[in-house]
Amino acid sequence: MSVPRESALDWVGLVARLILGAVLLIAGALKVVDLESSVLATRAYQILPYQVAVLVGYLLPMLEVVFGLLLITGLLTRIGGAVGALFMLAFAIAIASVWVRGISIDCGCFGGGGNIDPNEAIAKYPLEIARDLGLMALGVYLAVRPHSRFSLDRRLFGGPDDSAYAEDAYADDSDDDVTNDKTRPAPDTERSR
Amino acid sequence: MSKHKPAKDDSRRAQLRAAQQAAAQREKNKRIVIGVVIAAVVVALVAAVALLVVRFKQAEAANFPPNATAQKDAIAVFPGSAKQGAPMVALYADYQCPACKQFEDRFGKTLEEMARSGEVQLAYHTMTFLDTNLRNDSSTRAANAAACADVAGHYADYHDAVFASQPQNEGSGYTDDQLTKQFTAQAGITGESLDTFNQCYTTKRMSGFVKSVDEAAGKANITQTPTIRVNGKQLDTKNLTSDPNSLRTEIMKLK
Repeated sequence: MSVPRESALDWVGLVARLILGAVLLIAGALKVVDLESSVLATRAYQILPYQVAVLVGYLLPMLEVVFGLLLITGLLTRIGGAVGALFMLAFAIAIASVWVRGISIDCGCFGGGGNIDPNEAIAKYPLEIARDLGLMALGVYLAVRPHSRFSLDRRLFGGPDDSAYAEDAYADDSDDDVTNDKTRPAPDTERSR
Repeated sequence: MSKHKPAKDDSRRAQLRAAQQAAAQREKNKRIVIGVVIAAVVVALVAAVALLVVRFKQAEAANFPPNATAQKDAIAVFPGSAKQGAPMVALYADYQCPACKQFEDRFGKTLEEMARSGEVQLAYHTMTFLDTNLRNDSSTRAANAAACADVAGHYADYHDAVFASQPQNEGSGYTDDQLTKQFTAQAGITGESLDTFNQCYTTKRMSGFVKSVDEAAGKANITQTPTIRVNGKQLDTKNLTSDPNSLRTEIMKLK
């Protein structure tokens, strides 16, 4: 017996996965091939002490690629969503921090933005924060409800979390909704000896 | 309560067993995948730390120019002539930075006069981050060449010559010909000192020093050029006017 309402939300899960996953994967991939730029960008925020900023600059792009791929393929979706949400929250806080201090990170030689008017750069901050919070919301949604269409979670484990797969283990192997076959006996309750 | 015939009973048990085996396999799959992801994250962390170690190792200055500061974070300009109580002025610049050239054009002469007369203790902290932004290596090569110019005894003039010839098109950078022939001539590096310069430059002997200067600027939280610090305090370039003397005023304010 399928549950139609859950099926609709599974599509929402898929969209959330693909959007958040693609953003992380693309951002990470662009930086992974140019790690020195990533380091400069991290330093430009002037939040972390120098050596930590360098480490984060090197590490962040690689983690973005890993978790971007997890989300896109729908593998370990609950964790992917939670970590993705944390990344987005961190970015939003970082931008808020430079906004409050009046630092323009895209401006001038350092930000790699060439000759950009600092006020123009700062004017973009609220939009960027809103964008990152929106992406964070997608991650939170997936962390709370990781079920989605076309996920490796379902293909490999029968579902994105332990409680789900326990049910799904008794379903057939199609990619469809969880079925509950009420004519099957529950385990351990029937001993035929 | 058994309402099944024995045959169906067996097939029920078989189905159960199959289902439980499938569940166990899935549990195993999940453990493998989690293991792989943890391994990937650990690999990333190890790679990042390795890059960090290599980066800081390369910045150890085994060879440094004669007028390098004690902390190997800059080259002193006309050292030894400073009067008592002269403020320390640190100029952070990148040879490919257009704003730095503008500063140099307007205030370079004044600043060097102040250093020569002992009014200030001047040091140039040359950064190389524009290589990353412009995707070339001109900042590093120019910084190397300038350090070699100090070895050859003509640092300030060479520094000036580089900025004087900064290309209009940001990103064109500097050719080796410019660095080894044109700027040296303009700085008065000839004959024996030119041999010294060439020997230093072609072997890239100052590479470690150049990196150490750049790293030190990073640690000092310099994120924009040009940056001028007087006795460690930031000079607000917005207060500078077209009058070169405004620099003197601003420096003395921070003293």
